[in-house]
Parts: sequence; C-alpha cells; structure tokens
Amino acid sequence: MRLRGLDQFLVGLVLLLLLLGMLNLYSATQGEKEVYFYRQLIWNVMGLIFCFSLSFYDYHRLVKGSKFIYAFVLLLLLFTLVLERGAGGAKRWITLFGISFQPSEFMKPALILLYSRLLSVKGSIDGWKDVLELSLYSLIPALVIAKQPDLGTSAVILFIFFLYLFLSVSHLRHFFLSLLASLGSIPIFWEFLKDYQKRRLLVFLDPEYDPLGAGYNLLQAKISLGAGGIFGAGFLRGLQHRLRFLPEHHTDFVFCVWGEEFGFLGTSLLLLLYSLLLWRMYHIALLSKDKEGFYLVSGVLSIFFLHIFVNVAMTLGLIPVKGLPLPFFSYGGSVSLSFMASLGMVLSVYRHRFLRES
Amino acid sequence: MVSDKKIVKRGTFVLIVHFFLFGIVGAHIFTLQVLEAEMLRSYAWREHNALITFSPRRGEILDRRGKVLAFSVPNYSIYYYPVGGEGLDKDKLRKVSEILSMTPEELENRIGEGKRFVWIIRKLPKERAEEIRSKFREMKLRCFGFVEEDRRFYPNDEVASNILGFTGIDDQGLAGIEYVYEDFLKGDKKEVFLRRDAGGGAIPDEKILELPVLVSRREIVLTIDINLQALCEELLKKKVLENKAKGGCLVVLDSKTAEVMAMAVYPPSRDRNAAISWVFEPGSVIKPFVVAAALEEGVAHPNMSFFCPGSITYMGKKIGDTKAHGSLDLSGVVSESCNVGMINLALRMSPEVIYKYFLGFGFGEHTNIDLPGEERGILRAPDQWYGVGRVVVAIGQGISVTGIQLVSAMNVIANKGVLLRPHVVSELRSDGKVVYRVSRKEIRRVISFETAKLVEDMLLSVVEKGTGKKAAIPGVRVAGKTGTAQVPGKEGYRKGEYLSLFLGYFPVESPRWVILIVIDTPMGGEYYGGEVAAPIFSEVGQILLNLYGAGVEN
Repeated sequence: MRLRGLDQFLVGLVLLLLLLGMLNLYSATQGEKEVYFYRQLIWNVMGLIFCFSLSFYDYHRLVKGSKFIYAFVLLLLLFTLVLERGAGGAKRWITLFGISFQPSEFMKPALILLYSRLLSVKGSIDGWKDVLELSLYSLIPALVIAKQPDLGTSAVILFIFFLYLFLSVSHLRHFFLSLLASLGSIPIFWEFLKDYQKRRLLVFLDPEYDPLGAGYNLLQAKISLGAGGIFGAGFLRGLQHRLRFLPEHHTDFVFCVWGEEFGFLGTSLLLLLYSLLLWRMYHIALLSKDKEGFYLVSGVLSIFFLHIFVNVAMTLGLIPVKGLPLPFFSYGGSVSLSFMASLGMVLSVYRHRFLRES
Repeated sequence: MVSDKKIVKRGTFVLIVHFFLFGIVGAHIFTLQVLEAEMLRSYAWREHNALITFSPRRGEILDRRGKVLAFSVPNYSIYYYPVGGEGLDKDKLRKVSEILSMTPEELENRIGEGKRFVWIIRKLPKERAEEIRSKFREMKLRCFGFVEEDRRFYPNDEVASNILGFTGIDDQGLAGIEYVYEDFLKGDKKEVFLRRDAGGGAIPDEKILELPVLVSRREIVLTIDINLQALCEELLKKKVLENKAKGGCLVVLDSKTAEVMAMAVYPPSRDRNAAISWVFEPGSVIKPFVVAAALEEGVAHPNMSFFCPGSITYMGKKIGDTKAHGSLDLSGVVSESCNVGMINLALRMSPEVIYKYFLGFGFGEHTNIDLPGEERGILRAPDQWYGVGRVVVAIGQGISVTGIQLVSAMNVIANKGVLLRPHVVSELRSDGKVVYRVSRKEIRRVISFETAKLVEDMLLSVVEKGTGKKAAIPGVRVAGKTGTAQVPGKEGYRKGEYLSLFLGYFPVESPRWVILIVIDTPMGGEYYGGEVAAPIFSEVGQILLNLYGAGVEN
C-alpha cells in the first residue's frame, strides 16, 4: 500500500475548530456545568483517535461491509425501543459500562456508507422500483428514531436519502416527485399520531406555539448575538449565558455564546472556517478515484452542512425547527464520535485516492 | 478523479446550494450583530440590570448623653404571591398554618382570593423567620416570599414616649420626634442598578437583600437626659396618685440654652404630649409677667404700696382673694400672691399694654418647639376683654396657656429679659458626623435686665417668705411662683377643682434650670400650688443637684 499521508489542510482545519469549540464550551459551562467541558474533552480525544484510526483504514472495506454496519446500528436502534424509558420519557440511549450513547447518531455515517455502496454498485437509479428500494433503507431507521421520539435526527436520516436520490437519480423528475410525495404524505402521517404527539410536534415545528418557552429562548438567542455586536464582549464575558438568560447554552444555543463573546468578527470567522471545511471535503470528493469515495465524502459534507445550517438558522429564528448540535461546538458524546468517524472516513478517501481497487 | 460527470455536476450544485444557504444565514447574522446590535444591546442591558431601591435603616434617637432611645432592628415579613397560578391545596394549607402557628382559617382569610400580593405576617424576628423559611424550603413552597423589614424598638419602654412618639407598621413616624423628623430619620433612598440573573424577579430576593447598604446611618441627639426623664416621670406619677389628681406635667428646661431636659406627663401617652398641647388657665403663675410689664412701663416701682381688704369689686363684680392681706408693697403682692394688688396694678395699664407684654413673653403664640401638636393657648385681643376680663387677666384668668409657654416665659426672667426658643433636639448626625446643630436661639428681648432683676427679687421672696416656701431647695436660692388656678367649666368655674402649679428656676445667682410643675385637679385635700406643686419642685431640684452637682456646668 502506498500511503500519501493525511490531508494536512483538513486536519488542521478540524483541529482549529475543535480548539475554538472547546474554548467556547469552557466559557459556556463556567460556573455551573464545568463537568461538561471535561467530558467533552474526553469525547474529543476519543473522537480524534477514532478519526485517525479510520483514516488509515481503507474506506472500500468499510463500504463493502456497510450492510453489516447498517444492520448492526439498526439492531441497536430497535434495542432502544424495548429498553425502559429514560429521563423525559425518551428512549434514545444505550448505556454500556456506565457510558450512555445514542445509536441514532451512528445511523448517519452507517447510512452514508450503505448508500455509497448501493449507488456505486447500481450505477444509477432509473425507475420507481429503485427509488422505493433506496427509500426503505432510510424510512425504517427514520421511523424507529421518530418513535424514540427524536424527530430531528429522524429528519436528518430522510435528508440523507433525498441527498443521495438527487445525486444518483437518472431523471430528476423522480427526485422531485418523491419529494412532493413525502411532503404530501405528512397529513396522512399526521392522522396516525396521538394527540400529545401532535401537540409535541406543533411545539417542535413552531416555537410560537409555546410563546413562553421557545419564543423566550429565541428572543434570548437574538439578544445574545446582538449584545455581541461587531467585536464581541470578549472571552468569558458573555452576560447572556453567565446570567442564565440564554437557555441550553452548552448545546443548542452554543453558537450564541460564541456570537456574544466574539461578535460579528467571530461568527464570520466561524462561518468561514465551516465553509472552508465544506469546500475542502468537496475538493476531496472530486479527488476520490471512484464513486464510492465521491458518494461517501458528499454525504459527510452535507451532513456537516445540515447540522451547521439548522443549528445556526434556528438560533436566528429562520427555521422553526428544534436544534441539531453544532459540529465541534455543542456538547455531546455520541454526536462528536459520529462526526469524527465521518471525518476519519473522508480522510481515508483522501489517503487512498491514488490506489487501485484490489 | 471521479469519472461520472453527472454526479460531479449534481454534487457541485449541492455545494452551491449549501453556500447559498450559508450566505442567507450570514446576512441574518450581519443584521443582528451589526444593524440591530444597538437595539438588542439596550434590550440586554435592561434585562441584565434591575433598578433596586435601597431604603436606609431608620435613624436612631439618642438622649443628650448618647443613650439609645429608639432604634430599628431587621425583621422579616412573609408575603404570599403565587407565581404562575401555583397555590395551596388543603393539605398544604394545614401544614403551612401549623408552621406559622395560626389556624388554617386565619391563613385562608389572609390569603383571600389568593391571586394578589398579600402580607401574611409582618415583622418576625430573624430566628423565627429563618426557621419558617427552612421549613418552606423543605416543602418546596414557591408562593411565599420573605422581605426584610425593620421593626422599631424603644429600649426604655414608655419613658419619654410623649417626646419620642411612634412609628406605624410601614415604619413611618406618626407622632413625636418620629413624626417631626420623619424625613431625616427615614433617610434618602438610593436607587441603584444591579446585575440580576434570569432568576431574579421584580420582588427583591435574598441575594439582593444581602448586598451592602449604600445609604447613610442617621442619628438624632435629643436634649433630653433619659435618667432625669425617668426620675421625673416616676416622681410625677407618684405625686399625681398621692394627690388623687387627674394628671399632671413636669418640664425641666436648661435655662441658658432653652434645651428641654425632661418633659414628663401623666398619664403617659405616645400620641399626645400634654406639656405642649394641654391648654389651661394659669392662675397666679401669670402674675410675675404682669408685674414685669408694669415695671417695664414705669407704672409701678418695687416700693409701691397696696392695700388688700380681701376682695375688690370691679364693674359690679366682686373678685375675692385668699385672705385680707392688708398693707403690702409690690414684692409682697407677688410673694403673697395677692389678687387685689394685682388687679390694682392691672388698672394702671391699658389692656393693649398688658396684651403686648403677654405676646412678648410668648403667650398666645407657638413656642415653635420641635415637637408636633403644639397648641397656641388662648389670648384674646384686648378689645375683647369684656367686663372683668379687663382685670382678671392679671391673675391668670381669661387667658389659657400651655406648659411649655409658661416654662419659656419664666426663662425670660431667668435670662434677664430675653426669650429663647425651647427645643428637644440638639444634633442631627449622618454617619457619625454632625450635619445640623440646633443652637441657642434668641427670639427677642422682652424686658430690660433691670426689670428682670427686680422681678427675680420678688420671686425669691415667694420662696423665702411667701406662698412658695415649700419649693425651697437646701443650699441654693430659688426663684418661683405658686399658682392655684380655678378650672373653667361650662358655667363659670368648677367648684373644688383647681390646678396646682409651681413655676420657678434656680440657682438664682446663675440660673441653670427652669422647672414647671402642674398637678391637674388634686382631690387629696391639699390643692394650693404652695402645698401640692411647690414640694414637687423642691424634689426635682434635689434630683437635678444629685445628678449634675451644684456648681459644675453640665
């Protein structure tokens, strides 16, 4: 095997983002939740090890074994349903050796691998039969995850399907009709929901539905960003989160902590770094020598984009959907590992870009 | 490189869409952080800062030697204020009422509808409040709150209560010094913007209460000597009871400064001070001032002789005397308190002149002592002195005065002609620094030094050989005047009802104390001023000498 080493640009970018993320989390957890900072530190170290290990591992082998990986994660997902309900009635977690993790987070890379495999073998998606077959692979986990209930992650899973459909479908009308059909099925789906689920979904989709809860949060998020102004209040000086006005400031609204302390300059820098990340992954996708690599990197790229976009847009009140974690910034173990594993696969595509398929 | 042109094109398109959406997000961030930053920043400021009003602890009242007469201690009040509709169920109501040691019905009544802010208990001692608070915490009750409120304490209980007054439940002065100096004692509120977190509501919570008080500590120093005051109150009470009287008052004034050193009333009252608000006809104690007027006007001289047959008829009305005094000089008229002599003296002056001197000595007007509720007395204009009214003013009838007016007028003689403004406050202090000192204030010269001296000689003879012998104090020379005033009723004077008075000062060589004794309606047999009031004067004098010594300035 000839190895051309790591993509130093991407690795450097990721390390810089992780550093900024930890800096921000340190500020966000000051005073009451310092433990989350240290936990995240451990998660990140584990994530980096995971990431580098995967970068050496030939992605073709992962893609080949994707059915098993997918099946394994799906099994874990089903397992959460039979487990007893955790705090808040959600059944998202599996606890192993005292560490809880969310299988749903790992469904994202598993699904990317599976689609990369299926689509590169198939060549292209030509008929409705292909579309239906493709959709089933995400519909099943999406329903299970929706049942947990974690509608956000469920939506991400469906997003992955549409992404791959768009990339691979021969005739774009298949893509648009599928999209229309799924949007049209929402009212039917709605009928199957119980009242409390409907209510939950309404709140979930429309924060105005719960003005004192989510509306207040959104207002505080906007105030945080505005209070930062152009130059920001300075590191550790964000009053909005220190005085506890900003809710969930170590997870959903972590971007506001950054925005208040480092201002418009800080948020612009962050968006620039994220854009560079996407751009670099696009570059790697183009460099990859086969469709597997291209599909794999494209999937990871879009997953990163989706999380960044949804998180920030929610913070700004642009979309009425509950937050997805902000990569490198939000606290979360499983999600960090999932992101780092995805990046590891991207690095593997880069490393193996000149090799012939054996 | 990937060979499939189609998926590369679509991938590129996806990336472009991503960047486009990033662009929208970026534009919104620009709007918030640059265009709307000013507005949002001011919103944040309003959110992070709460306007807190600091009320200083109510000032202390001290006596002339710095003993504390009134002070405030922090107490805690419990209020009920349901947030978000969280109220009490029956079970909780019962438990809470147990903790507060009241019946469930009582508690329910106080809470009422249970939607508005209501006080449950006001001003509990700290320990008790802490106990209740910890029990409420255990029960996780959120509809009750605690606020620090001060409670006023008067360590000497009722002593000087007529001077100190009292405060209401909301710490506002309602009588006495508490009322007059309300603004000073209350102090200036300070409004401060304080950082608050998302938990801090509009009602001040514990954190805010624990912040340092940013306002000044105030003190009022009185001219009262609380030891003397206590002794005087005790003595007055004893004498009133002994003489089966209705009540009385006793005032001790520092002659040189017109500082009130003691002002006892009986029965004691926090909301009415009889020494300044009780209006009565003075009787014979008015005589020295009429004599002073006559001497000052030159219509009389000390060696002038009078003859008293026991009564005098004026405008068809007979005015009696205690006895037929026979031949008297002016000094004798005063020392024997001869009514006939006084009326003859009054006839030598026009009513206007007498009126002018009465006004001069401060009758008919406020002394402006710094206490609330002072009366002016009744001094009619001379054109309304009908009939015998023209002459009986000279023996203290048809004119009404207050105790403080009498003391103040007598102090004119002691001060050799000058009227001073009496006062009970000597200093106002803020954080230990004197911010205002009440100094000796001359109102006017009423009579000449020589006239005052002549009157003083006559007042000496009252005690040395006249009606006021029992006012004598061993070792010092005393000047004074007795009074036995008839009490006016609906139809003429009441039979057998008298005020027994003595008004004097000592030591005559250098007067230090002016003292007034009034015993209201003694029914124990004796009622003459010389019999009832004069001995009390003597006792007070001896108390003063014991406390302060004879010669040394206090």
